Amino acid sequence: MAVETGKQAPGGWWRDFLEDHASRISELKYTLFLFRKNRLAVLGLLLILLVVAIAFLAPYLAVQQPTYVNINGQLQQRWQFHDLPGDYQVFLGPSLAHPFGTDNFGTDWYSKVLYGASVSLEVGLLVVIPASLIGSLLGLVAGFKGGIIEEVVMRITDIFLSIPSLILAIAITAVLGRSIEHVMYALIITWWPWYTRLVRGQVLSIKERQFVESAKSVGASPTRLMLRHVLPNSVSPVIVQASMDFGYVILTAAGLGFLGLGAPPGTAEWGVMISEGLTYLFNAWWMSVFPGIAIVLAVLGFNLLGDGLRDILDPRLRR
Amino acid sequence: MKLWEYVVRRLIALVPVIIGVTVIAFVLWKAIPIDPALSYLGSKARPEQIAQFHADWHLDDPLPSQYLFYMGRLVTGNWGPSFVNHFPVLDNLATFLPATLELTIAAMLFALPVGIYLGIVSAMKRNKWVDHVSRFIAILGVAIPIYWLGIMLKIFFHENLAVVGLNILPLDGRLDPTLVPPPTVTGFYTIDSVLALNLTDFISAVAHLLLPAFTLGFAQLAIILRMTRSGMLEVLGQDYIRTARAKGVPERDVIFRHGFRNATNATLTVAGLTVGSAFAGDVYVESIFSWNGIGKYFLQAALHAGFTDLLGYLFVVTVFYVSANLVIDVLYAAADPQVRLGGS
Repeated sequence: MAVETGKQAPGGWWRDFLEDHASRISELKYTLFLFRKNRLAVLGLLLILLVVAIAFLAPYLAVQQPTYVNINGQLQQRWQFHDLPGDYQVFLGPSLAHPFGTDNFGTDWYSKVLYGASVSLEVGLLVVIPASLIGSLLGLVAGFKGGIIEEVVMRITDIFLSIPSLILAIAITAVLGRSIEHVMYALIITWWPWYTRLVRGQVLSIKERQFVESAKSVGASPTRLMLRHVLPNSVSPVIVQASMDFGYVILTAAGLGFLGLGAPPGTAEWGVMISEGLTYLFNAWWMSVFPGIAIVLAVLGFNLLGDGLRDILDPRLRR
Repeated sequence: MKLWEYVVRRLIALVPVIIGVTVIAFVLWKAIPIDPALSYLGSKARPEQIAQFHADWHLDDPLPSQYLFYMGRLVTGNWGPSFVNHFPVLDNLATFLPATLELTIAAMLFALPVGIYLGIVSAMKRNKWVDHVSRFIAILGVAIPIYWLGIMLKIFFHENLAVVGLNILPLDGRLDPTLVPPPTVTGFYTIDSVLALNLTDFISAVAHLLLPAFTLGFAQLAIILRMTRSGMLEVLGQDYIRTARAKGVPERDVIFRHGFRNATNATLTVAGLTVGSAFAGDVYVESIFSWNGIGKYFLQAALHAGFTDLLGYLFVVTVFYVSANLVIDVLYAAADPQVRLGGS
């Protein structure tokens, strides 16, 4: 219930809000309009929503559930055979009862692929968010402060970027040991420098623009300049990059799982599942095929969305 | 600034980067939680053996002097024994490197021309079917994991599978196991067999190269296609293209001389980056197609926590990657008079 005070009508704060931010709201509406027109971006978003929905609904959509057992202090998934509808069999080809077939233990592959969605999304989130925050912050400070700080940060960035990222990630997981958390650490360590380079470039160009100059001349503090004027204007390329990277991180994390450096064997993780299929490739092709399709769809979604966002947010292509 | 001054300046700038990479590698080595002596000698090693190993490798010295010791060995070419097969690491890298280079070069020989060609055609025929097909390839190439593509090809080309059952290309190794490899000159089986005038070996080597090179090249092709297309689209919209067309320059010259010459910037830069992703892709492709290169060796080392091998590999790959990018920058500077050599 709104309280009537003075001249303000009920819901007055809302109208004030709309008036204050009229230009931003129309900008947002225009962005949404552009987004709806971009069919590939919409397709990308739908694919992402599909993967997210599967991640949350996997326990209801699956025909077989994993149980968790404690091995050496780590909870690991064990897929029970006996709770399958009907009698289970190993190496069953795709059928109505087992749309993606079964593996060498008689595990229903369809259920396992569904459970894999949440693992991949979790890795994506827990890598892209910290990496983009750390990287952007360093880039912001480097670009804004300049001088020795910039020199040091950018040289360190160069060093990290001079090792191909998958190779550095493999070396790090090899050192830390096989687990999905270590994959995340490795990917954060390899991914932040891209954001530092990106944001620093943005900051350098925005710093020279007139509105920053005028804010400075009015007496805005450096912190205020950085956070209120430079940061908001360098966010959109970071969003585009983060969307793309979400896909690449899923791809790379699954790749490390495939190589035997990621999640432990038996986990419902798409990369691990592909490599388990590799052992029985010529007897049970479905074991490698279906987890791979899942990776392709997820990566495709984030890629299309990122591509679309780049076109939509690019000021040169607007209007 | 002269071109050679630029090259020298860039080479000097590489020194801190390479040193930085050795620091990262050193930190990784020190972060290995297992005692390297145990993983090298095995769990049954006697205490005096372990102590000897520690003394030989200066494992109990303070960290800075350990780093200097490591740098000294790196510079003098004494990279230590491999944890994978106990041969010297440098010998291992020298043995396995040609196979990887052969595979990578073959992949780039496929990816670069096809990617550039499709990119140009796609930009010329914007929104026609060629463009749609090319863009579809570009999207797939980025989204399909290289390891999955390799496995799919193996399924398609395997004789026992009812799916397709093509049995025309070999799936594993570098050469038919019944054949004797040609005498080593370059380490590239394709070139060595030509030098030895051995046609059977040559055909077998090429046949074994096709699937892995395609797998490795596909992702690079997609990236190159994408960058060429967008670079061409930007250039083709410029005024001087319209001028060239208006004064009657043949379309072929407009596209290649006026258009592509100016769009090479993006393509070249991205080609440099693909060298890195190709080395990374080698790790997958070599382990899927049993290709005995440094990628497979690196994976073995990673699975065995073999630190001498990891350090050696990281160093070699970084040097290759960084020099490839340097060569590309120099080529670009030489090709394009607009590039200011003085800038950072």
